[in-house]
Amino acid sequence: MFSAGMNANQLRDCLLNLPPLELLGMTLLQSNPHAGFFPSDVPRETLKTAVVEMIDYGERCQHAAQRLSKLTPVPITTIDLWEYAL
Amino acid sequence: MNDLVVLQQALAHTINADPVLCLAHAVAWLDPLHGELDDMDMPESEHDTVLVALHILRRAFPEIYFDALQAIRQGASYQRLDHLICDAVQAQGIPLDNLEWIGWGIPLPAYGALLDDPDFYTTHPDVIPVLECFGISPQPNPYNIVIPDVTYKVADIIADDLLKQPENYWRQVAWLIRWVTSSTNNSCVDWDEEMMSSVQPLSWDADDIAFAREIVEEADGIMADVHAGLTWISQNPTSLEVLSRNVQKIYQTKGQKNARYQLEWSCPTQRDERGTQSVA
Repeated sequence: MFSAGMNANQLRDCLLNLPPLELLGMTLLQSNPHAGFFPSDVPRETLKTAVVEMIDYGERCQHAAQRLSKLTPVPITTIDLWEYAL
Repeated sequence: MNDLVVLQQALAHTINADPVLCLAHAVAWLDPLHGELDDMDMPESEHDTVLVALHILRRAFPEIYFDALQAIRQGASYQRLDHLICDAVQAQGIPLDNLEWIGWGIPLPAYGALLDDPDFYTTHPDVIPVLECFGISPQPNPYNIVIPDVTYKVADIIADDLLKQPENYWRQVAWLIRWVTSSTNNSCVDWDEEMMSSVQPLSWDADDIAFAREIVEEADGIMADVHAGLTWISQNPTSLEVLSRNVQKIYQTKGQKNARYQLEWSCPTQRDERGTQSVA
């Protein structure tokens, strides 16, 4: 599959082996188990860093999604789909 | 501990134990407005205004964005949000007086003087003695004030010379003259509100915000000098005479080729006696 010689299963395994995402916002939530839904005693600078990181992460995700939606179609020449033949 | 609180904590703990749910929780907490704002020509309600403001703040001032989110969660009214956001943006050096204006771009002050507008002389009567030194007066026909180009040229020469003076008060008078003749090269100082509203406002991009801060800070500095210069010259009638004498020197050379004149500036250090007497 593709020029890297990787098939779909290998690509899936590769993605699943990526290290877990670590965002400061998630760390703050996990490290304040008794703070309810929204911790209120987080230092302001830490909070600012977490907000900026989350906004940046969200925009990178959106950008990646937009790029994926505009990928050039890949012609499949090695598979015969007789049921869709004209 | 209240059962509901215990339940809430247990629920939050369970959510945060799962990476995907924890990510969703963090987004809901820190950036619930992620995504683009649909085109909105003009906010038609307070809700729309807040929505536009949050989208702008999200990129321009993330910490103010979060403070506003916190306030909304606590049930803050529109007026409370208006004050909170405007005060915080002003603290960043951007003069936002009303949340409704945030969607139009960065608001800039407009201190411009309009010498051909009779209203200027009504709203700034303290400037009239200085203008009279240049032969500018709203009388006798206040509705047909035409300032000849030569007046601006003379004012430019005077201001240039005053800016070279060692005494701070004369340099402040130079900025006063530059303000009334709209020649400071700072748009906020030189343009009136009509002119300012006719140009494309700055966006809320980081570069434009930095530029706006710079221009506003410079304008505030110039206007501080303008007011100081006006106060000083108003309290020193002798300095007005000196100014008038130097202006006349330049006017007298009008039309002469290679005209030479020597401008002389006296150095009254304090409010002069006549000024003191008139105040007394």
